[in-house]
Amino acid sequence: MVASTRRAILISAGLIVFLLLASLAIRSQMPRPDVADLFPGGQLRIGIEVSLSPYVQLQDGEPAGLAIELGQALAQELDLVPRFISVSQDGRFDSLRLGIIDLLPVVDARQTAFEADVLATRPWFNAGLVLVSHQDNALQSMQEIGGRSLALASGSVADTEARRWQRRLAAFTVLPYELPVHALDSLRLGIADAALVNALDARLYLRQHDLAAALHQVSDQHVALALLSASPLRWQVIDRALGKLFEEGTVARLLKTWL
Amino acid sequence: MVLKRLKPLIGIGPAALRLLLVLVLPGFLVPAEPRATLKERQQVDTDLPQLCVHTRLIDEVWEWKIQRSLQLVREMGAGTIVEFFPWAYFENSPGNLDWQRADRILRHADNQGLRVIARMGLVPAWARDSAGRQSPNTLNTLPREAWDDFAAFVAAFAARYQGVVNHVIIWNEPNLAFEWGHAAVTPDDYVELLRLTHNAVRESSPHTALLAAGPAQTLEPPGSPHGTNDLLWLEDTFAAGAANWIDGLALHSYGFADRPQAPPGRDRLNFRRMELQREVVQRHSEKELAFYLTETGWNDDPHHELAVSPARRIRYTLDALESADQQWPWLENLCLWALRYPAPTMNWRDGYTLITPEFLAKPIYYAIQNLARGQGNVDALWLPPPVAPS
Repeated sequence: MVASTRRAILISAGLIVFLLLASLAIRSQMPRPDVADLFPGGQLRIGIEVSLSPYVQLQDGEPAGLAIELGQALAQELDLVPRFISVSQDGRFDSLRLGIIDLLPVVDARQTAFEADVLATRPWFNAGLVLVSHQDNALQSMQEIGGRSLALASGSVADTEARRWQRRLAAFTVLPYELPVHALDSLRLGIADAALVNALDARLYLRQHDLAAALHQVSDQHVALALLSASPLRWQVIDRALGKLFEEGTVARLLKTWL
Repeated sequence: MVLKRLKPLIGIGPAALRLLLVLVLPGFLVPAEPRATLKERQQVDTDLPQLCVHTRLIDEVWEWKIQRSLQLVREMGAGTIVEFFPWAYFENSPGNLDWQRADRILRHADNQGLRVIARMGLVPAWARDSAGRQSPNTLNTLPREAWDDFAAFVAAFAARYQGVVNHVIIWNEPNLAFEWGHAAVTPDDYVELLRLTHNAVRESSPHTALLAAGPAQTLEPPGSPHGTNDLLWLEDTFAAGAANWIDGLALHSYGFADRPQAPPGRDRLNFRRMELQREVVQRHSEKELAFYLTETGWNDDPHHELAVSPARRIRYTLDALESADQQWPWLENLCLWALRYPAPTMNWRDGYTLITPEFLAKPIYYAIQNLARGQGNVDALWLPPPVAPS
């Protein structure tokens, strides 16, 4: 009985390994997709929402920001001409479906799970909540906030998260401010022991203030590019190009420039 | 005997059978979803009779989540909901209507003592293709050939739910190209759709009130492919006789970055823009129309340019509710967008909700509840900005 079970497991495992190797072998034999065929006209049409600060914002009437420069770098990597097309917030996925644009540069990766025909690439930024504390008294997790004071923006996602932790931990004091920047000021000025804000607010603040801070990621919000799943080759080309931008350090450089 | 019969099957291999059991058995260990049995009919206890909230229950899978959502609406002190009933969900093929999804929502709404305003839209595939297979199209594409079918669907809905749903909104934000599948639809076209729907509904359900859909607030310039300025849209639709075919108007007026007291202006988008919208309608209509603010609120998503801070969102929402209560007796309902989504949208839209998909009430929910139920402190919401110790 034991021997037959072992045999079944071994056969199953062998079959899985065989299928994996076979698919890898087939993939390696397949010709690489031709960018010119996938993007006729030599253009990469990128949908942008101009109100999506700080990813995209208007500077002297022209869209600028992290998403714009990422789109430009991506197009350059693929030897395409970037064309930025303004899309409405409600209609951005329909703009993909109707072929008005080729990709959206700023999409929460989890959102594509709710859009059956849209695929996310690998994430290029994590915008989730971070616990910010002084580097010389760094907090490594939310558990360590028990008995201390936590500054946050009243009514925010951080506020909701803190209320959740209040039910789990030893009592801690919540200092509710109107804005995340005030919560971070409270930390910097030594009023609060830590601040709970999202990664964008934390990074933008730390660029402008002299604060040696330690950041601990509390929740994830992965930002990625999104394309239609009907064209997996396009997705493959774009995702690979994004990977190249990571390898070359372009993504890190852009993040440092804008955040 | 049974075992004997199963023996040949067991012969396929005990190991394989065991493997199958290992894969299947854990499925039986998953706890069942809670049941949503109806309890004693409830009544809404509130100091704010205008308070209403837009729900998104139609995409909810589990009935207990519908029940829980509606219970939270009542407990917050809102007596009315606006809910979307998409045509595409009910009529998969012409004339073949399946009302189950509406039935379960309305059953629970009634049980919680809530009034329901129904919004109609979204086109089934067969109707989208009725003008020949249009490619590409979206769920909002409504070919002219399908307008009578849409009107017939609304009439059937109104007839089935007479006395349960007394208000029906025809379409949504009709001044936006997106809402018509990026097709060109003029104010005259929309008035024609209202006329067709009115005639169909009057025949089937004479007491159901028809509401024209509120245009989206927008300052789009003339000729824009995205849409038409809401005030111009209302000028044109009511000049074309929209009032003849409706009983009221479902306005949309979000606060965006302005506080609720900020004065309205033709070149400005804010909460009180609904006053301008109402003026336009009244100028063109001698008929006494009812006004419902079926979408309003402030967004607190931190990276939306027209958002406010979450703390300010709470303050503005409470102020708006108090203003409506004291200053706008003509406003039947003020409906906040939105109670909760069935799943997170993972973008700025989540900045409008009062409750997370996991039923975690946001601080704004408790603040509204405190105001509507006359409980707790709704004044001190946040600390002053910190200053360096001297």
